[in-house]
Amino acid sequence: MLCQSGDKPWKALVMPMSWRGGGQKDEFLDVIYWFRQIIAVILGIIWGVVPLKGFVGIAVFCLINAGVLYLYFSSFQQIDEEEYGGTWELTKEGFMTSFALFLVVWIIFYTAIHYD
Amino acid sequence: MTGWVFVSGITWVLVYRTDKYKRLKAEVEKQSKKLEKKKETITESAGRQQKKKIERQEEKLKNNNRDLSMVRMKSMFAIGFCFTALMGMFNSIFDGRVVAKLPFIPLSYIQGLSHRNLLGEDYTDCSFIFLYILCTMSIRQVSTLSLEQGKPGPIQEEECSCIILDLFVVSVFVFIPVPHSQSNSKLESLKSLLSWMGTETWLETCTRALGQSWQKWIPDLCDNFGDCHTKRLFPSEADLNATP
Repeated sequence: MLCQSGDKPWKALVMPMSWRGGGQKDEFLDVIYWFRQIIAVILGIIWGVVPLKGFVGIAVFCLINAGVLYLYFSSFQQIDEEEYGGTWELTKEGFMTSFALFLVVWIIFYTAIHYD
Repeated sequence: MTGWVFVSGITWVLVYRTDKYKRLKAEVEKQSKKLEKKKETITESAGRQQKKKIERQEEKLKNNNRDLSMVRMKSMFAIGFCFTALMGMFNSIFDGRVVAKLPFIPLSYIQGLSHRNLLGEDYTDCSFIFLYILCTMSIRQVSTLSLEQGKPGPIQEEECSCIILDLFVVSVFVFIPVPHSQSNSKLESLKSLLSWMGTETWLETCTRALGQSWQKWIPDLCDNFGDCHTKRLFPSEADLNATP
C-alpha cells in the first residue's frame, strides 16, 4: 500500500502535491486514513495525560479530527472534493477506526497514569 | 502458550506464505488491470470479436478469483477457531473484573457492554469485553494495513490481526494497572494468564463449542493424566465430597 508509492505519502503530509489521476486517488485516501490514525493516537495520549474527561473529550476529538483533515485537503492540498465523491466521503474515510483507536489510547493512558 | 503459537503458525503458513496464493493473487491483479484497460479503450462500435475477447477475459478472471477464494478458505477456519479460543480464554480470566477506568460515562445502551458482569454502580469501571471490542475495531485494522503488501485481501487482514491483536491485548491486560480489582497483584494475573494458556483452555473451548459441560470432562481427564493443577482449579464431585 504505502510502500508501493515510495516516500510520496510521507511527503504528502507536509508538501502540497498534485493528486490528479485515477492511480493516485487511492493513495490520497490512504494518506487521509493514516493521517487520521496519527491524530487519534496523539490526541488519545494528550487526553489521557491531561486528563480530559467526559463527552467533552469525545466531542473535541471529533471536531479536531474532522476540522484538521478538512483544512488539510481543501486548503493545503487544494484537491477537488468532487473527484473523491464529495467532502463527506473524505471526512468519513477511516473515521470509525480512528475513533476506536483514540478511545483505546485514551482509556489506556488515563487508567495507567491516574489510577493505581 | 503452545495453543496460541500453534494457531498463529497455522494462520501464517496455511495461505499467506504459499507460492500458490502469491501466484494466484498476482495473476488476478494482472488480469484485472488488463481488463480495465481494454474496457476503457473499447467503443460502442467495437466488433463482436472484441466483445467476445473481453467476455473470455472476464470469465478467466472469475475463475481465478474463485480459486483464490478456495485457497483463502483454509485459514478462515483456523482464524475462527483462534478467536473463539481467545474469547473463551479472556472470558475465563477477566470475567467480573475491572480491567480499566473509563474517562467518561458511557451511554446507557453501551453500559450493558462496558459494565458487563461488574459489581457496583460505578459505570466508569470497564469490563474486558468493551476494551476487546475497541481493540478489534482499531488496532486490528491498523496493524493489518501496516503489514500488508499490495492491495489487501480479507485473509491477509485476518491472519495478521490475529497475531498482533493477541500480543497487544495480552500485554495490555496483564501489565496495565487494574483498579478496584477483585484479583490480587499483577503477578497473580500474569501467573493465572500463563497457566490458562495451556491445554485446559483449549479443552474448555472445544467442549463448550460442543455444548458439553467441561467441568465434567476436565476432572475425568485429570484423573487419567494426574494433572494436579487442573484438579485443584476444577475439582470433581468426588474431590468436593472427599474429607479434607
